[in-house]
Amino acid sequence: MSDTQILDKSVDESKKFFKNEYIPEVNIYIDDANLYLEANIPGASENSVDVSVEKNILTISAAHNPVAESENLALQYAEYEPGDYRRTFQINESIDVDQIKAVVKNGVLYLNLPLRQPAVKKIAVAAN
Amino acid sequence: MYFTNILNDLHRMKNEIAFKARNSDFNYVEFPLIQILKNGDYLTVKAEIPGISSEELDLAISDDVLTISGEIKSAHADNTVQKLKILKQERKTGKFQRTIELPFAVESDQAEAVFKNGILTITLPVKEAVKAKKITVKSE
Repeated sequence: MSDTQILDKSVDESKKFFKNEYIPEVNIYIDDANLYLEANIPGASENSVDVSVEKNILTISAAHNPVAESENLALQYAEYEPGDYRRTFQINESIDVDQIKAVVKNGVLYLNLPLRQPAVKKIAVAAN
Repeated sequence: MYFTNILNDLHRMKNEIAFKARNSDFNYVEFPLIQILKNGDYLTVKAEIPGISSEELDLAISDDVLTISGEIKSAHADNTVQKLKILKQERKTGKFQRTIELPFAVESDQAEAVFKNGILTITLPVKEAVKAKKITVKSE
């Protein structure tokens, strides 16, 4: 706990501004059984990926893993800057949040969101 | 408080601009995006190619021209067996090719390439003929 009664957090906010955080590009598909979400997160490994559902908000985030590089490496030209990723989606109750599966491969996060199936009870008709 | 709000707005705008630039319909946005780094006698080229497998990546180097090509296969879009409906399609998929002019000639047969977490890293040694030669100054 801090000894100070009041702390101005605007300095922290400015740090957040200068930190690179990107909205990852996504593909979303749906079929009768599942919703599939793919997100581009180049530079992030599976350990840094976080998928969470709070109420009806699905949040995916991933931290960029800095690669250990020689100190003599000097940047000559850059079209992209490494950064973290974060994107949120509103989902409804048709998604079974307990069964969401996530896999990270080649810089893409693949999410499988199963849809709740309507309870249909089939009654076998026996011939008499 | 006011300052914080402005920063939040700018932060949001910065993200939106970056996002829109990447998802632009115009083809002037090159793919893949690259970085070029230099370390003494080596040149390192990095490229963001999320979703590709290393088997589908092709590299060609001749003197000072590097060509990166390949195909990003979609895990779902090609599947016609499943009745898939597309809700959002922002990720780059399909064939691509990019030719990069390097600042100097490199030894193509000593090039090394690694693909990890969607980032391709190519290490290229500078050609012997290009390296700076030390000239000794004789005193007379």
